[in-house]
Amino acid sequence: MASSVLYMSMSLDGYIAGPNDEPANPGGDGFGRLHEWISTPDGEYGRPDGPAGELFDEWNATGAVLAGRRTVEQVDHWGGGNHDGVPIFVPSHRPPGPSVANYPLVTYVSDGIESAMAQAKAAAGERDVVVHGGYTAQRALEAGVLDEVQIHQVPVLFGSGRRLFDVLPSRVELEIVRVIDTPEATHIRYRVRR
Amino acid sequence: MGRLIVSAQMTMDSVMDQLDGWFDPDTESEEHGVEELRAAQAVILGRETYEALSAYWPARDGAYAELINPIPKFVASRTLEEPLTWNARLLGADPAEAVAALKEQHRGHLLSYGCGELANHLARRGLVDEVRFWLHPVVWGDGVRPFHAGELPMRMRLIAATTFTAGVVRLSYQPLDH
Repeated sequence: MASSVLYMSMSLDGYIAGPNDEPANPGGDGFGRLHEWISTPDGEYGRPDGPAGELFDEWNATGAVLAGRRTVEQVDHWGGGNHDGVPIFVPSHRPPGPSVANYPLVTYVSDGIESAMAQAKAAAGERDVVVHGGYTAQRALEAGVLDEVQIHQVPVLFGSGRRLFDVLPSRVELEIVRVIDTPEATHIRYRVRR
Repeated sequence: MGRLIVSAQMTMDSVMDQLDGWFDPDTESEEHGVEELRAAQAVILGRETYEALSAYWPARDGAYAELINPIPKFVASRTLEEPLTWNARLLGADPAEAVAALKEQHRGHLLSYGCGELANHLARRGLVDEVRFWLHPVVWGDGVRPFHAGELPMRMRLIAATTFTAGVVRLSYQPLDH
């Protein structure tokens, strides 16, 4: 059975974006620091060796993507495909922008996040659904459709920026499933209790 | 360039054999073993491990058996002759040279089980990129220990520690130059 999983690189103080996060500066100031762990042995962005590489593979083996509108518009829907060209579902009450007509894998879902997740899981089959975007992850948690959270906890204190779970309407209990401890980051996988 | 991973399941007191006695499927590690094997393109074995595994797995079914039975295997042996069963071939007179060539030919993982004389030989020649010890929460007693045949000590650097909350801890090491 497919799980819906949020993958997020995060500073120890909970930031997933630096200050001045806007379309011209996606992720805000200093955002790259959160993704330095995704480096090849040559120091390029890409699949790391060792256990961090397995995380990279897990993330790429996804069957569908559920992504927030802000996230997809910042990168223009990844040019229509992401994660090896799997379907992308975007929960949004507003109609999509004009570029989406060119992207057959991108579906805007206007009747709520539960519906968007149900469609993503159906498209993913046995594989997992990767959730992109902080706001969308919060809505998915509230709606009870987020199954797991994979945090890449980076040893840095941002001090300011945008936090992942700033305001939630109620407490959410999590269960630790796996901890991968490396010098570059501590990767903690949680299951959401319901 | 492929990466060679030596992977070994063991008890807290480093016993690798007698799995029938101590391996507990409730610790979920079977699933991790399946994922590890799924990521591999070929398997590299010493003769003893080859003989033990090829006598056991062909008659089994399940996710692991479906992967381990067809995958290409390369075996180091001074005594066996081809043809081998279980989709296996011999590494030839110089296993280290043959494994170096296999690493050149593959882009993904080569997985080695057994962690005995062959693993020791390959690690000392700088051909092993990662050593994984999967520690199970049981103390067993006498048994076969990792890298038991060949020259010791072998020093390593810890590159990651993975805790699976069902009970298994996986330690990932990089062998240092010797």
